[in-house]
Order: sequence, then C-alpha cells, then structure tokens
Amino acid sequence: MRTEPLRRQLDVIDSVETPDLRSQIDTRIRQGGSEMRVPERDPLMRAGGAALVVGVIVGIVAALMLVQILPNSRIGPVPAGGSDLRSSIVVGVPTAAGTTQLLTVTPRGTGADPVQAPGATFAGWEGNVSPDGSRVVFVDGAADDQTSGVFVGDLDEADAEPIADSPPEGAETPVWAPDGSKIVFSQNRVGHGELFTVEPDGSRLQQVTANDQGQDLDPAWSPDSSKIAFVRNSGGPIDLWVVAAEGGQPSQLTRFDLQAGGFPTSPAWSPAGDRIAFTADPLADGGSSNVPRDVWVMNPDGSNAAPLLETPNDERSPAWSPDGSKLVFFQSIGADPAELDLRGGYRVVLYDLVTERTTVLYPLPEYPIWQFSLQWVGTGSATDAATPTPGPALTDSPSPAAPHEGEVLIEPTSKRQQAEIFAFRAVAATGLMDPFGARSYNFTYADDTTRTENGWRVGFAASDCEPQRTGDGFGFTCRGLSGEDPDLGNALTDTYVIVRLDDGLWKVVDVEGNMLSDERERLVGVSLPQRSEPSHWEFPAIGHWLDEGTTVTEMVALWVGPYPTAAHGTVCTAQPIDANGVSVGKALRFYQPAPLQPFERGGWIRGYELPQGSVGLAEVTCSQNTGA
Amino acid sequence: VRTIELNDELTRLYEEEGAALWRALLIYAGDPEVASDAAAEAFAQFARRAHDVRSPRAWLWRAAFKIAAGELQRRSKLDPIRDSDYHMTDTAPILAALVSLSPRQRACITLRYHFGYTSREVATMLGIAPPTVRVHLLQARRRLRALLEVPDED
Repeated sequence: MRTEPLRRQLDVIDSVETPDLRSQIDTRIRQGGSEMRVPERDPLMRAGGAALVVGVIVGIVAALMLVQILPNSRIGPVPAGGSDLRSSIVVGVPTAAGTTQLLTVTPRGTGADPVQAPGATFAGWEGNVSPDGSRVVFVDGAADDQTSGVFVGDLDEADAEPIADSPPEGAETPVWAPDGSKIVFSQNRVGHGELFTVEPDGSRLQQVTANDQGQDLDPAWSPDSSKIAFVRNSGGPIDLWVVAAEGGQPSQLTRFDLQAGGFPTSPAWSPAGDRIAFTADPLADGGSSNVPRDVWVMNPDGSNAAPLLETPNDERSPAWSPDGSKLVFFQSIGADPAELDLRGGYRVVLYDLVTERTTVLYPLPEYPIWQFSLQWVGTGSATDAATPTPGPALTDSPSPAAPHEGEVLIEPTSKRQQAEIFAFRAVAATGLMDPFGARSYNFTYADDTTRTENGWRVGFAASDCEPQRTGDGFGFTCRGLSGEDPDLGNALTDTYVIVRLDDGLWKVVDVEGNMLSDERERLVGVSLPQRSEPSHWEFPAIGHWLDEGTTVTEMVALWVGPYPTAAHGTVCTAQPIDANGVSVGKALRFYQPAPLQPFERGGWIRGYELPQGSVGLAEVTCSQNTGA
Repeated sequence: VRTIELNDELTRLYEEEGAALWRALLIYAGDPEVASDAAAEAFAQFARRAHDVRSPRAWLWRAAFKIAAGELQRRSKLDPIRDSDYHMTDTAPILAALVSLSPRQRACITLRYHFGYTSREVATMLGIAPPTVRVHLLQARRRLRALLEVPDED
C-alpha cells in the first residue's frame, strides 16, 4: 500500500532522464534565421514606377482627412467614483502593467469610460464594487494563489487595505452583499475550499460552508442578503447549491451530469429573487477541448433551467440589470473553441429579456477572458432601482430586422494603442504596405508591442506578394517571409518600427529587423498629424499594376480602433478626383464587413480602372451600413 | 546571413528550465518526441525574441505548452487512433497512474503540485480558465486517489 502524499509521489518526475536539446535548439534557431533572410530582388512591376506610387499614396492620405467620422463613438472620463457608479455596468479590465482598471459601460452602448477614481486601478483582480458605488473589494496580486488575500478600498483613495482579521489565504471572488453589510468570498486551499463571509472592516470572519472533498466557489448573494448561491465541486459532479448566509446545511439546486452535461459556474441572482442566471460549461471530452459555454436561467429552486440563447458563441458571467429586465454577459466574437480561453476576442453584450434582443456594448481588449470581471452595480437592491429610461432614438436607426442595433465602441486611448495606430499609418503612408511592392509590411495583431527606451516598438510582418489574374478578376498571392505561426502569433513578427511621441507629434525613430535599406530610409523620420477622431476606416495603402492595358488599383482599408459599431459593416464611397479636386469618373462604392478585431485590415478593390483625368486621388466617405 | 549562437541568457535559461520543462511536457504530451520538439522550438523562439520578453521563464513555459498542444492536436487529426502514451517506467506507479488521466488533467496535476505553478499560471499555460484548472485538479486527484490510495492531507 502506498500512502505517501501526492506531492511526494510526484517527486519521481525529477528522476526521469532528459535529453540534451541544445543542438536541436541551435538548429532551429539557425533554420529560423535563414527563413527570415530575404534575397534582394527586383521589385515587381508597378505602373509608373515607385515615384508615382508614392505620390498617389500621399494624395490618398491627404484625402483621408475627408473620411467621415463614425457616429456615436465617445471618449472621455467619468467623474470620480462615489455614487456615480450606482446602477453602472462595471467591467474590470486587465492592463499591461498587471493591474486591473475598472471601466463603466453604458447599457445603451454609447461607449465605455475608465472610472476616473484613484481606487479604480488596483494591483489585483476580481474587483467587486460595493452596492453604494463607493468602495471596491478585490483579490490581491500575490504571486502564489495560496497566499492571495482580500483587499478593500475606497474608490476615492489609491490605497486599499487587506481585510484585517486572519488574512484569508487563497481567497477568490469576493462579492459585496446587496445590503453592503458583508463580503462573501471563497477560499481555495490545496485540495479543498470553502465559503467565508466577513464584514467590510475585516471583523467577524465566518465560515459559511464546509467541503473537505472539493471546493465551494463563485458565491452569489440573494437580493435580500439572506442566502448565498454557489458552485460546489464535490470532486465528482459540480452543481449549484444554496446556503443561508449565516451558514448551515446547503441544499442542491442543479443536477448536472459532469461528463455528459458539464457543470455550472458564476451564478447571479435576479434583483427580484425569482431567477438565477449562470454559466453552463460543457467540459467536452472530459475537459480536453474548449467548447462554447452558454448563459442559462432557472428558478431559484433549480427548476426550469434552460439556456438563454442558442448561439455558437461562448457566453459567460451573467449579471442582472437592477430592474431585472436585462442581463449583461461576455460573448465571444467568433466561435472557434480552440481560441476561447486564451485569446481575447470577447465583448460585453446586453440581452433584453423582454424584447429578446442582444446589443453589443463593448469589445474587450485582447486578454484571456477570465481576467475580466463584470458587474452591474446596485443589483439586488431592486426596491430603489430606477425605472429604466428608454434610450434615445438612434440616428440612422437600423431597420427592425437589424439584429445588432446600437453596437458602439470605445476608443483606444492608451499610448500603446496610439503608437500602434501611428506605426500602421506611417508604414502605409510610406507605401510599405503596397501589396505589389517588393515587400508588404503588415500589422500582425501579435500583441507584441513593447516599450523601449527609444519609444514604442511595434511589430510588423513582411510578406512578398505577386499580382495575378484569378478566374474572374485580379488577385495576388503572398507568402510570409518570417514563417507564420498562427498558434504563437507573435512568431510571425520580424520587423519592428520604433515610434515615439515628441511634443505631441508621433514620429518614426528607428526600424529593427527585416526591412530593405531603401524602405528603411523612407520610413525613419516620418511623422503624421495625429488624427483626432477615434475609430475610423483608413485607406492608407494603394498599389497599381497593369494587366493587359487595364490599370488595376488595389486599396487597403483599415479599421483603426476597436470594433465597428454596426455588425453589418460599413459602406464607403471612393470618388476619384483630378488635380483640382474635381470629381472625375464614377464613384466606387464598396463595402467593409464588420471587423473582428482592432486594427482590422479590410478588403481590396480589384480591377479598378482609373478614370480619365484622375490623378490617383479619391475622396473617401463612409457610413455605417445599418442593414436598411 | 544571420547567425545566432546560443547566447549566455539562453544557455542559462536552458540550464535552469530545460530539464523541468521537458519533463512537464513529457507528462502532458505522453510522448518524448513531442516534448523535445516543443521544448526546443520554445527555446528557439525565445532566442529570436529574447529582448522582447519580460518574464523569460513564464514566456518559455507558456510557449512550449502552446506548441505541444498544437502538435497534439495536429497528431490527433492525422492519426486519431495513435497511442502515443509514453510508458515512462514500471517502477513509479504515480507515472503509470498519470498516463490514465487526460493530458490536461495530468498537466494540471504536475504543474500545480510538482512544478509549483499557481492555478492562474497553469491556466495561462494550458489555455484554459482557472476554474477549469481546479476542476481538472479535483477530478484528477479523485482518480489518483482511487488508483494509488494517495492520502488527502497534503
């Protein structure tokens, strides 16, 4: 009989013999290096040569200033914390610095704003705002989750204090009671975990549940603060249970079959106490695959449990509106299960239980989804919830058939994102994004922008494209020069553009990595006036080639900013103009589908013949396609 | 032509992490070939972008597990019935027992309890959410208990 503890038994792992990988590593480094080496080669044919193309691009960039700003985007601070957060949808967003920043998202989808209070950025996670909107509780950022603790702070102050009595090690998911009197949290110890409550001043730490075999997680208060729903992982099935806030015998609400039906997480009690929403996690293949989750709703006794929406998307972490008529939750933008947990690609959506409509409120930045928190502050205090006021009529109101009315975004205002946008514009404006150029440099979405002492180092990937005729039009084939690794993403990057903001003007200060020397000379030193509008399409890159007498013009459309406001995309018109700015020829109307991520690159115009008199300039205007 | 030597930083990282990383990958993938490929590729990727990486150790482990996961997925498509479980030893029952778990379960167990990563770190490495890590830990411990009579008190 072996009775040694698991950790001790696992020590045998250290005696497994390991191979020497150094020569293999060295070989791979050399292979990678040689793949990235690019032969100097003749530029591909281009109509009019390089000088003309550059001229056209500069002209197009000037014309861009005429691009219409998309409506409804909004930026700006919200007044400092305090009661302003009451009835707000609050999203905790991870930052590059490892802290969490609280944002408010408006339920009408008019944007999101950082909460401008000193306590709204904190070194921790799982932030939860008190029902009166004045304080926040969170789990600190200790490296080992065995020692993480609960911190409470005023939003108006930068410093939060640990809950004083018996610092609860391994604490997770603290939640304020609707009456503000207590905080419940789960305590994850090795092998087991229980629920505790504590008063906000740290007094009266009380164990609420006992679970020697597994863990009690994700506590959620009933609106009268008398009961706590939670997830019990028994080591076998995982289900929702409920227990009196003072402790006692819990009762089981759901009976999920872990292998066949998965398990529930993140319960949320409706403000009237008559429903509980939660996330159902299918745990397919015994957890070997990522499968989309769904938001479910049931009666508080566990009956009538059913999914809210049947979408292929991943949906999770529901929170009720104070009047109980709506739910907000996270929804994945795509439905690729392999991407669901690790990558970003989620948004906050609002589901109206009366109209059964879903509205996209806010696309989340690209971090693993479980690093975000979502709360509708004031939930639970149903008695003094304000009657919801109907949103203002949207101008350019979509047709009733449009399923995603009111999708609106907020703006990337961080220095990092500004740097990325400028770097992209600079590369494009210099003609280095020309698909017919010797090389085309493209933004990689690789999340590999870094801060250096010289400025911001923004990653690009070089590719090598050739124009060609396709069956019914024109196209081109490209091959990456740096070996794309879709899983690692950032392996693709091999060119870095260093940009810096000096006296309010962004400037390219250096290029590192894989770039031809003449291209480098063109790019270094470039600066562009900063654009004041937030999200917009740009048409920064253009290329021409001659195909049997026809000039084929290709134009890159780029969405700089977060996702667009209309799921149906954007309609743009490019009107060629002559040297005097007078329209010549037919305007070209084209359509950009909704981007799926910030800095999305749009489609191409193909086989377009420049009209007589055109100097290669176009006025471009865009409006949202509302589906009407 | 670019040539990149195994520089000091890479060598130090390899000496500190190479063996542990390879063992963890072996237990995850159940296949020494996958473990070697994933570890070597992760080190090579690191060498190309070392100056960008703020936490080399965390980056390395995360990259290696992503590469291994991709390789496992690719292999399961190529040859779904391939039995790649590596019969590590007959003398360590714990290793034989780990083989009976799913790759993610055994990765969670070893990364958390042997290599000392937190649930959040394990979640990041494996590309799953921390609650799922905890589910795996508990399911796996339950199964190991049944197989090995591992006591609960650790």
